[in-house]
Amino acid sequence: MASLFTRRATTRLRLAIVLAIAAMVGVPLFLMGWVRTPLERGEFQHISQPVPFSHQIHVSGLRIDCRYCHYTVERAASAGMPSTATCVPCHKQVWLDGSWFAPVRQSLASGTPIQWNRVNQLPGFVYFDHAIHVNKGVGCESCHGRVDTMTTAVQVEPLTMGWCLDCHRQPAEHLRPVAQMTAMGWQPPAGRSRTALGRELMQRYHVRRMTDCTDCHR
Amino acid sequence: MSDELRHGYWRSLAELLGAAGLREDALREFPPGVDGPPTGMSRRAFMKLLGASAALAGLGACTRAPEEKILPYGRQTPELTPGIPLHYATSMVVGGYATGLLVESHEGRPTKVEGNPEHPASLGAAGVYEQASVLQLYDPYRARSAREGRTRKRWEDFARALGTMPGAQTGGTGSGLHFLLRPTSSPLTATLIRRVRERYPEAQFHFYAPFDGRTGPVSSLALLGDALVAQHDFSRARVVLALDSDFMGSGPFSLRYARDFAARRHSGISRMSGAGPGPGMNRLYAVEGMWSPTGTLADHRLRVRAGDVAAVAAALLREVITLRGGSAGAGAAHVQGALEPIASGAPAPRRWVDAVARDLVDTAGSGIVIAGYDQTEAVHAIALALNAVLGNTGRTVWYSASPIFEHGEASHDLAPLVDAMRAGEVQTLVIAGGNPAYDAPADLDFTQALKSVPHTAYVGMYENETAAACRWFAPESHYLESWGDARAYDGTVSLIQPLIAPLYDTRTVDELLAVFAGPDRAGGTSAHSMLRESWRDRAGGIFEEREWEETVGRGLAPDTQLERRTPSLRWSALAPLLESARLTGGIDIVFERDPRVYDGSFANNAWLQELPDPITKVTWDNAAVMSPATATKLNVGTGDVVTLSLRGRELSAPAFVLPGHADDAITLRLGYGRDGAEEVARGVGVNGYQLRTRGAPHVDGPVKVERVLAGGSAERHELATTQMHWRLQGRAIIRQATIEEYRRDPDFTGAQSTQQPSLYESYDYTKGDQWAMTVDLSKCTGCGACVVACQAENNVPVVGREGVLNSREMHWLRIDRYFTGQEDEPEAVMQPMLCQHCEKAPCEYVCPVNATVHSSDGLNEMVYNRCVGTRFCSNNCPYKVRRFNWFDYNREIAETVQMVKNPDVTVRERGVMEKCSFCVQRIRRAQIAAQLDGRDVKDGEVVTACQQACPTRAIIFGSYTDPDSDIVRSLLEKRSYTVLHELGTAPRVRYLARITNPNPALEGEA
Repeated sequence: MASLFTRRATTRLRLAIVLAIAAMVGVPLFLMGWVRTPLERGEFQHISQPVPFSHQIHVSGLRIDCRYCHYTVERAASAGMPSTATCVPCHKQVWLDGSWFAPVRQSLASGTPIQWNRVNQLPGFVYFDHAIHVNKGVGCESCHGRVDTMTTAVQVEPLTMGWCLDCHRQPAEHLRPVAQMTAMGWQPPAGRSRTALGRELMQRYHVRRMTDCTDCHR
Repeated sequence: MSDELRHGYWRSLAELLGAAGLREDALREFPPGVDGPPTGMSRRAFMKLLGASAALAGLGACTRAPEEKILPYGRQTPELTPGIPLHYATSMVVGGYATGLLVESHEGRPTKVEGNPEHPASLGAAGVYEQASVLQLYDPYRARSAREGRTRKRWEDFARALGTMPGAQTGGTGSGLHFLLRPTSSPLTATLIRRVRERYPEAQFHFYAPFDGRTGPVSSLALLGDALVAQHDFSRARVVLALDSDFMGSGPFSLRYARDFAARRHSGISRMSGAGPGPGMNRLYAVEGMWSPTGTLADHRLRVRAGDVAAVAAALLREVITLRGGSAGAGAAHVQGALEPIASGAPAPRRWVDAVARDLVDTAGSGIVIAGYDQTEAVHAIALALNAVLGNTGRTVWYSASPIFEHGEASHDLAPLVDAMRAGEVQTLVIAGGNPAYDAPADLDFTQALKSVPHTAYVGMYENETAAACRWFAPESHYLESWGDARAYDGTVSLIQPLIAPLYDTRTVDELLAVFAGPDRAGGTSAHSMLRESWRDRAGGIFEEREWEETVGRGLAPDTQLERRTPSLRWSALAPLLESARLTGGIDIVFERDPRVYDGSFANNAWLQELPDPITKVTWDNAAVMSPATATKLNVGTGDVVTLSLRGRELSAPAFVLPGHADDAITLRLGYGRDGAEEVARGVGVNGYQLRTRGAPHVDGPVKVERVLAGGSAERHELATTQMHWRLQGRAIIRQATIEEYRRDPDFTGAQSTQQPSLYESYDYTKGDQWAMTVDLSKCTGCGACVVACQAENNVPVVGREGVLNSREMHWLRIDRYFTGQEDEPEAVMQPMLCQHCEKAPCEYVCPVNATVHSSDGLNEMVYNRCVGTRFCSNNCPYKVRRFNWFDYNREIAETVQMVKNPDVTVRERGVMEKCSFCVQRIRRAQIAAQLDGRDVKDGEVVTACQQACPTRAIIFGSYTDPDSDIVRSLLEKRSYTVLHELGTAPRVRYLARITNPNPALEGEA
């Protein structure tokens, strides 16, 4: 009697079983790997903006302090996106009638906001407060990177909970004097290690290890 | 009666009597039905959704969060910092009287209402109506545009049309022009009315509200010669007699009265823990038929029908006059004869009358007799006389002109207007606010009379019953969108300041009147400019911009209370007023304002509909409430539908059997049974106004009560109560003692304060902030302000009637009501129950994903983004305060309702557990603010939403590591105890035992 299944059918079945097992293991593994890639977190991703604003020109070229535009960073949860009116005093002299500035002019005329695309995005259940971080010696650079070199702003850190906790558990490594808050490329003075200075700053600014869940999730 | 409960506390009659089935239910962790699948959805659809959501849940990990936009201001408002809420002072008017408020605004979006600490009617507290009013602002069922018939119109069209109506034309005399307004205390509205009257000398104004408190001014007009209202100072009252008066729970100035009463009560109790007994503790006698929040706090509550309160009061007056003898005054002796026939039939024990009269006389000059706001002229007259005889007048009680415009005058009577309408004398009727087609007395048949008026216009917030009966309609602004003013009960002029520009094409009543008062007939005059103008006139033509700004900023004009008056009593006028006091046989029906929807004007507010009634704990319904004895006599039980027949009118309502209710009386709360365009309110409960007549707005009778039979068995209507869930099983959850017992043994809760042994390792909770709360059971009236405040602050969803029937209500803070003592004369105790933030929390040990953990400052944290919804924590919680999101209650809410959400609190989705967080968002905000200033958090800096709302200051919150703080003083009171102490959960919430101050002469009686 001829066999019920052909040889090829058997091979196919075997192949299918192997593939299924591979998929069962592989797909979760791939996904677990995927969420750990910068691509998934949106790091280094180019995000286009309605106005091609260059942080590099403003920060490194014109030496404008971060707080000139993000002026609520020291007292509010939000660092503060500058209102359209903030651009005008300087740009009245230059560029305001250029074609790039069409959205700015429109916003000025109508009072409607310019729609910027968010670069550094936290989930809705995270309550981050800029003020407390900068007042405790966490510099802008620590989370936002070398903004002075960015022509378009990009996210440079993972912004995952693990990344937050690295600092919340061991703040000393990441602190700097409050006076150096907006400095880009800040290094501790010669002869001082980051950790040693950080420990001292922790004492001076009463920095605690904030690891209660409700510190961020409410 | 089951033995275990004989002397303990019981929550309902069924439990007291050990009803079959209840025992089994009690053994189950959750009531049946709570974990059933959603109704109204097939199993197939359910599986489909389940499959889809599982697939999507997997995919969620592969995608980035949706892209977000950042929208900075075009031009930044200087005082506004995005992320930091601002508070503005304004006032809300309920029943004509203003309560000062501070409203929290997030980037121009009002989200939370709080009391204005400077305002005399609030002192920082806010009641349920104020708390819930912010939801009304965003109500998607509010009317959005004007209309004529069914054609949509603009406000300007409406204003123009008004100007062409008969009587209202320019140069006309106003003949045939009638206005129907809500009673108002607004100086601006009064000015406008006068201006309209000048312009149209024959135009007539009428005022109507179903609960207008006219009886007080009417009785004082006879007795004192002027229409006055009584004012009280409860902070100086040693003995208070409440004659069917819920002075702490509802009515004008109740927030203030509750605060003053509770402060006096507390100083009497807490002095105990120190040096020794003080004389300070006040005593409260309540005479009432239906339980009121005030009645639950009473030291002696006399259970009599509302219609018999006058008789009890008369008996007391007779006794007091006798006891006072010559010092009562010559006139007093003469009324004895008039009192006799009523007093002799008083359904009060002789001993009770004697003891209370003696107590009142002993504390003469420092007592208060207060009559119920809606009670008859007779009760108000007797209260007035009692205060005069006792010498309270001028000390704890005084009188002032009524803040309400023309209060007690003929213009407040609806009948002449309806007669004129029927006679065809009314050509044009402009109705501003209110809802007379729904709530006018049934015998006037207002809706029918409206048909004989050729030109009708209505301005209101909703397309309600009145709107449907009028040709022209225009929407009214919410108070958070309005400029205006009003007086508080003591007369303080309070300002209404808008928090947001009108969401729709709406105007205020003042702006409507300006159409008639001119000069701009097109309706272009803004209330803002009129208000400024009226302030200039008030100051004699001088307008100080800075002074104005300051007044608006504070929300009130200081020193504008109405003048104190203490006219002498005309005893001869008392006897005629007593004629309205009646004692009848049969069963009475009592019409009451609802503690949740007021007169029906808040019926479309889902927060209020779902707030359990303070006593019955019924949500989303009203009922015919009766005593167990009456229920037995009528052979009905809770949930049986009965027909109430009165003067040829009939109404079917579900019965509710309530211990402590007066016998032979049925209480029906009004404001339900709506059929306008208010979707939330429609079809909820029954409309009691159908039985209410002009002659007997408060008590009527005799009413015939019959069970409705459907096919041989009784027709039933399931009432969605929160009462039967989570029962006691005889545990000592409430502790109470009399002041005498407390004096003898201050440590009477002693066993509660010892440490329980524990297998779990302990953690050092002595450093930094350590949050704790105390709740004083001596002060809690159960009014529910804290429940709504919590709902507003913490984005707590509404689940609807079906949800409550399945025990799925989401309130983080509930108020448990327990009865104690005998079934026929019970006492009631209120206990707010919220997450106890146990240091050894049973919920934390069983969570498989660490979604509920403890913080270093002693909070039991709930981490929504970790929760997978096993509900183990809820199973293991002995206090049953954890709430599970069975559905996505927030997914399909209207865009406007999304605006009410607090941006500082996560909006939870389906499948996660939630519970009280001690308002952690407020704690963290205060901590960050303190750290930025380089200091520690100060005592009183963190105020939880429930604490802030509480009118009696029963809730105290703070960190116990601060030795000089209110919370430490409160925790150290000897009477403090923890609930279910024997479980060793070490809660951070402590309760202060209820201390009562009964009259020794009434020992052995309730």
